[in-house]
Amino acid sequence: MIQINNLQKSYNGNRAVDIEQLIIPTGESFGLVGNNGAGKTTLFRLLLDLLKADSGEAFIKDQSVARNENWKKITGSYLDQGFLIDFLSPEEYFNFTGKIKGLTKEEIQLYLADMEDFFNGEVLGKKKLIRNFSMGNQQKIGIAAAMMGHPEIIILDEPFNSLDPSTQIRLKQLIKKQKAITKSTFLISSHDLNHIAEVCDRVVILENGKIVHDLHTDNDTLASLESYFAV
Amino acid sequence: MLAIQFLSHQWKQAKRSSIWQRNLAVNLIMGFFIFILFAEVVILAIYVSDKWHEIITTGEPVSVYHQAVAWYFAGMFTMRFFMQKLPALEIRPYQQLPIKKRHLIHFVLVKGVFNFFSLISMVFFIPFAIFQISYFHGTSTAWIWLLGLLFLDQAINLLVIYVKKQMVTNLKIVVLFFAVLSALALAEYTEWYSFSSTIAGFLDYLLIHPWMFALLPVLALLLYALNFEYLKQGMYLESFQPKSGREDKYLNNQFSVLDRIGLIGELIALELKLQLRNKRTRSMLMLAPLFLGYGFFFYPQEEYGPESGFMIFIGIFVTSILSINYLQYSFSSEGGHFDFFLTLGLRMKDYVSAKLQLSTFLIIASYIITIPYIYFGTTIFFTNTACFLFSLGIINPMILYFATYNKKAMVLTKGSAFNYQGISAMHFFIMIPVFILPIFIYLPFKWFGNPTMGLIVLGALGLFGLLLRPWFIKNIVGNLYERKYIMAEGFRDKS
Repeated sequence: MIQINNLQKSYNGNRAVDIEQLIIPTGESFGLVGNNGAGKTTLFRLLLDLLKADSGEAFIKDQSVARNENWKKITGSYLDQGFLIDFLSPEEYFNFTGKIKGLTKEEIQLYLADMEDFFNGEVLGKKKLIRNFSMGNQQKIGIAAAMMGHPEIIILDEPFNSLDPSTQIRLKQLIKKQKAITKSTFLISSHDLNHIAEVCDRVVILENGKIVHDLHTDNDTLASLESYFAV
Repeated sequence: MLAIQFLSHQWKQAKRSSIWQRNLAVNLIMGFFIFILFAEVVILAIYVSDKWHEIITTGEPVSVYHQAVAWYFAGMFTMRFFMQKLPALEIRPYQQLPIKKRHLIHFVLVKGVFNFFSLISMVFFIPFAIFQISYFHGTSTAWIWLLGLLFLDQAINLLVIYVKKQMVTNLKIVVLFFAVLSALALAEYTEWYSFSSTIAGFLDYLLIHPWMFALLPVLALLLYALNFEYLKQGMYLESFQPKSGREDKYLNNQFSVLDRIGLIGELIALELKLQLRNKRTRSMLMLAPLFLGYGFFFYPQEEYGPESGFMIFIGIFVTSILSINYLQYSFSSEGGHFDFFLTLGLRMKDYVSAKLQLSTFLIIASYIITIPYIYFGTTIFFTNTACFLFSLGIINPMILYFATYNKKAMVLTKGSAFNYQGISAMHFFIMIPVFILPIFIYLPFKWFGNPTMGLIVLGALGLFGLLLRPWFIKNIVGNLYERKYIMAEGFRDKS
């Protein structure tokens, strides 16, 4: 599904991302961990063609993301608040996103009804603009918009951040459910080793932009992750 | 000690501000111009002060100067109110440190004394004290006079700070200010009430009884204390939180009519919401009628004939200024969600078309609203029609093309009449070709004695541009693809 070849990106001479090869097969839940500045967000931005790579390319379904836009139709993403339109209400935002993604009004309503549990009654019908929601609720709105229309690829950057404990658990259930129904490929980064080991089939550790470990999840994954990051 | 720490932080903040990192050459040139300008003001102030008693032939020179001082302070109050930033220390990082509250407040208030406008007052008053007051009233009185006036200046400064903290600058206040000032000026002109004589009388009285000058420092100190108390009470985190509420009224505007024209309609509705729901864009919209009324200043004047090149400028201005204002910032005002647009799978062609359609609507609306200018003659109507077509066909896409070179996000939530965040010199430079080009096309025809032909050519070029719109859109989209990484990166950095 996703292939990366010799992808490099530097900022002022510092290597932010330097990946020789990475292949993510269809339906895999791919977890990305690494300390601050390891290059997680940069990698996602390169994958979403928000940054220009110094060299190398990223491919989605064998098509370069920089030279082609077909991947946008099958990819949903939420990296940060730059993905929210803060002067809209959540309903307006979902309607807009849904329509651009080619959903009908009914499909959008159905999807939102489905998400009501994840929102925990704190998002819809509040008559509030997105910019006046708390960080946690903004995060929920962004994640829900990314997963709209059941895209084949879903990219989430630190989705567990600022969510309350119950919502973190609901998010994990949501990801698992989505995977079971639509076989979506997930790319998730997180600082929470527990969550990432639980949700992902495969976890990659990034350090200074390079892949230093590539683990397929089993019972020992959490332990090896913890030992890697131990100080 | 603490004050020095604060000052060093402030210095670092100023030094590391992105303004300085732009371009050394530009900064040097600007610095040179500012220096020259300042030197000229100083020399002028010294010259006028030296010759004042010769310049003023009627009345007491000092008394007349005091009248000028009255208007100076009225103007200063207005200038300070609109131009001067409130002295502020980003207080939040210090609030949880063991620093006494009153130290923070004193620092903020004392810092407010040192600004550009206080310097201006010194430039004006010091030479006058040396050349005139000391001559008429002796050196020691001159000193007292100077100190007194500088304290009065600071009293006004503190008053501005206090008033400004009480209210948010908006258009109503701008209007109120100009109304009060005009009323004072009118009263003075019709000799019904003289504001300047009142103030001058007071200052003259002080000069005769110099010890009374002590009133002015007392006034300044009282205002200082007032500010101090106000800040002390208001210095809690809650007061920094933006006020919410009153949002229901926005949600009633859904522009559902636009649903009928599909995706582009959806995008236009989004643009309209952006314009109406953000403070910054709203205050720009409120100024729009002012721009359309521009013609009233120039059409009645005799020195510009109805066929002069200047009328082309006015024609272009009134028909296209609204769309220029919108298009120039149309990418940068979406800086907050540009990443989202890039990954959403939105067709760039739709995105660009939506913008051009909205601006086309603005130009048509401006044209229709300004049709009554026909009152000033049919030539003006025909000129405006030609300019309208030219704006529609050529200027409209041209501006959007240039807007892709904008890489600074506009922060929309902070709105005030004089907010220059996100605006660079580029925006003003763009205006030059926009206004020069049609005049250059028109003038040769006029010189060869056929201005009507010039108008026809302008209009024809506009129509031709309309036919070429798909080509324009293709080029804008191409440029957008080329520049999207640079734009997105610039927009992510919100400072």
